[in-house]
Amino acid sequence: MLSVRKLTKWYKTTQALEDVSFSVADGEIVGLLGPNGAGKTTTLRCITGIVEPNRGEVEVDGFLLNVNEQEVKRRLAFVPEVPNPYDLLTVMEQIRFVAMAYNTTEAFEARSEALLKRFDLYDKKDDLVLGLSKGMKQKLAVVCAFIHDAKTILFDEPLIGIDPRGAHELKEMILEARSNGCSILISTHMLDTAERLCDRIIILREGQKVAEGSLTELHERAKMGQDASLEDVFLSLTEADT
Amino acid sequence: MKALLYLYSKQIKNSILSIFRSAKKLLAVIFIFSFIFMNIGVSAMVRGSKYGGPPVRFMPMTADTVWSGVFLIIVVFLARSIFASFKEGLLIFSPSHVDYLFPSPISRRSVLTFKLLGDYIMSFACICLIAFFFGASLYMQMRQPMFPSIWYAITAIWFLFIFIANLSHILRLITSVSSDRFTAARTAVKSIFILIAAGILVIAGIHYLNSGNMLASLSNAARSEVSKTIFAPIAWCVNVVVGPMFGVDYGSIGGQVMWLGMLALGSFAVLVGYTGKFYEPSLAISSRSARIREAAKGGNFAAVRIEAVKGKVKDKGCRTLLPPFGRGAGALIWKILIIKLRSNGWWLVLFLIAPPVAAALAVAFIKTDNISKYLPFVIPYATLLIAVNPGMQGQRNELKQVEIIKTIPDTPYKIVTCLVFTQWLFAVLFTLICAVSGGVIITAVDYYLLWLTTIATITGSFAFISGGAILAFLYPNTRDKLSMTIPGCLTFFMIMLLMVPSIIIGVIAVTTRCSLFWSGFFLIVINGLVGLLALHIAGLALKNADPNEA
Repeated sequence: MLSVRKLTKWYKTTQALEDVSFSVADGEIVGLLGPNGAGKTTTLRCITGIVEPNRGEVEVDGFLLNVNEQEVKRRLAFVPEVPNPYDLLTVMEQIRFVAMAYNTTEAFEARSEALLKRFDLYDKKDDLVLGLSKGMKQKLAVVCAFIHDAKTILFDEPLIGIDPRGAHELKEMILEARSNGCSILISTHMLDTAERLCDRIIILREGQKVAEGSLTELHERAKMGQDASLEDVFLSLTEADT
Repeated sequence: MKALLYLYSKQIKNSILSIFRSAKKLLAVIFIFSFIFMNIGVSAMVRGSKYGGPPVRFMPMTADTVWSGVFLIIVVFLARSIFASFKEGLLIFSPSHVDYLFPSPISRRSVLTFKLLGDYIMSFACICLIAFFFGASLYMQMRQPMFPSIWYAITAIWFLFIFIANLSHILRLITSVSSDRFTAARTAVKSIFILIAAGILVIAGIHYLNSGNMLASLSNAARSEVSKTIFAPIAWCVNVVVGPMFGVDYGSIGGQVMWLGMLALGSFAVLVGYTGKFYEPSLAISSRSARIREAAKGGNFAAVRIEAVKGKVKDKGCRTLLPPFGRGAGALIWKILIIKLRSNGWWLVLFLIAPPVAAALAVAFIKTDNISKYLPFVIPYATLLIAVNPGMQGQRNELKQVEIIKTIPDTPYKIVTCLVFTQWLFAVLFTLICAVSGGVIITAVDYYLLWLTTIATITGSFAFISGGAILAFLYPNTRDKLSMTIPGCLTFFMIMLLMVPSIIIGVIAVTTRCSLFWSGFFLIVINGLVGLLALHIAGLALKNADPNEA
């Protein structure tokens, strides 16, 4: 269970987030949508502890980030938008390092092999990350996120750069994680993916939450019929004042 | 802790293995180390023999002048670090650290401790490499034993570097907290620094009014008790480094090294004891540094410059000043020039104004016979520093953009020629500005020597820049820091090697007072042939270049 309460963040004079609150229940997938600069990545960075919010709280499974930082991080996995695994580690070493960092080296070999095979990376397991293509690095970032028993998984544009088969596998894994009771937050611009995968959608604009709810609820909010796509709803809600 | 040990040990192991897996990297490393050991060996032999001649005196400089010069250079470095800590700081993490260490449950203190220790080890290795390379020749010239004084110097510089870096990190972490109290503290530290600098300048000014000698006045200000007290750690370090040049008391410098060690250790303890959060303060500079590295890796020096001055770059009518021209490979010339105009405005101003200003200052402050003796030799060094080195870097990164460059419908030779020609153009212009400024403003100069070094610099630059193009293809930039030192070292050795013909011709010309026409003719022929040969090889290298190798 992930809870974000009144998250506020300023960068010098720019307000990146303003009183953003939401929660992701166990076994739920929530999509975080919004135009460029809406505050999606800042939200994810605040949740992972990379960035300090000026105000507000992040709670994961009953632990507050600013009180029990390590307990919260142990329960989180994060897939960044641009994959940056360590160039000078081999694929297997990168995964082992992540497993060690999260203290979950039990059954590591079997688990990593299964994940690597699932993402067509098994043949590359002894290659340096330096030689991987961008898509392969993105797959490796996903493998690293699933190598430990995270209760909450955060994805920042997870499907960009991944081939169709890899994208399919990732979607399957996200659905499996949901059925295992994980809370999943996905920040994305791919509206069709959000429409198909997410149970609820949160729309941010200029650091503020402008809408939240299931697709049906968003349709009502945007005063659109049920046949309208998420794209129509998104455009209507994010361009309301412009 | 275990995870971090695993991470760092594997990275070091893979970095070393990557050298052994690549024949050309291995050859380069063997060459570099052989060169350094040969330098040390030859220096040791000359020092030990009776044929070396008397110790070299440092031009018109005394022990005090050398001491003051080194002291002032380190003070400027300190000021730069302090002011950088108020902006973005110097605590730079790689994007991989940001993505995999920051969100992980590894404690912030462990992350910081390992990061700092890694930085310290890297800085120690760099200081050793530079100290042994240059130290060998320096100690040879002074007929002084290199050991153990070089170890004292290396340790003192290393401890001071750690102390200054830690001080900068501490200031950055404390002042990044946005509160009025800390903003006031930041302003106070800045003001104190400016006041100290102003105080030193006032001392120098008063001395200058009495003596009329600018160098002596600056030296006097640096050696004043006020400066030595305020910047005591720097004064200790300079004592240890400069001491062996003019007779050394190991007892006293040993004590100063110990004090520096305590400062380094103390500041490290304060830093790792910091309980606040440092991820965000280091994020801005880390992201910026990553973007700059990515731009460099992607292959465009101009992009690196643009990243570095982002937000400040404006067109300011550059396209009106330089309308598009060129076809095929020739279009590259316009592209490089327009980007240089856009992103390097201040550099171009320095480029045009610095030589006449420096010449005027030299006339005002330095004795005439010293200017006439040394000016011709300043021109090649200044050109190497201001025009050739940035030109080679720029060209290196332009050439690395092979995906675009290789698709230009022109011969590889022509493409490389256009790239080299544009960078060489700046070297030619700068050399001519230097020579004309020197010739017109400093009338007491030896004109024969001035024009001879001008021709040597212009023709030599062509050979250096063409040679740089070959190295850019054979040893492209990589993200691996260890591998990145290879092209840097090779470029340095290549320049030293290509200088040899010009030096030989120059020495013969000066000793025989051979006519400027013939010596110039030989310089043009020799350097021209070397440059053309290098261009031809670079063309072949471009043809075979594989973008995936970078």
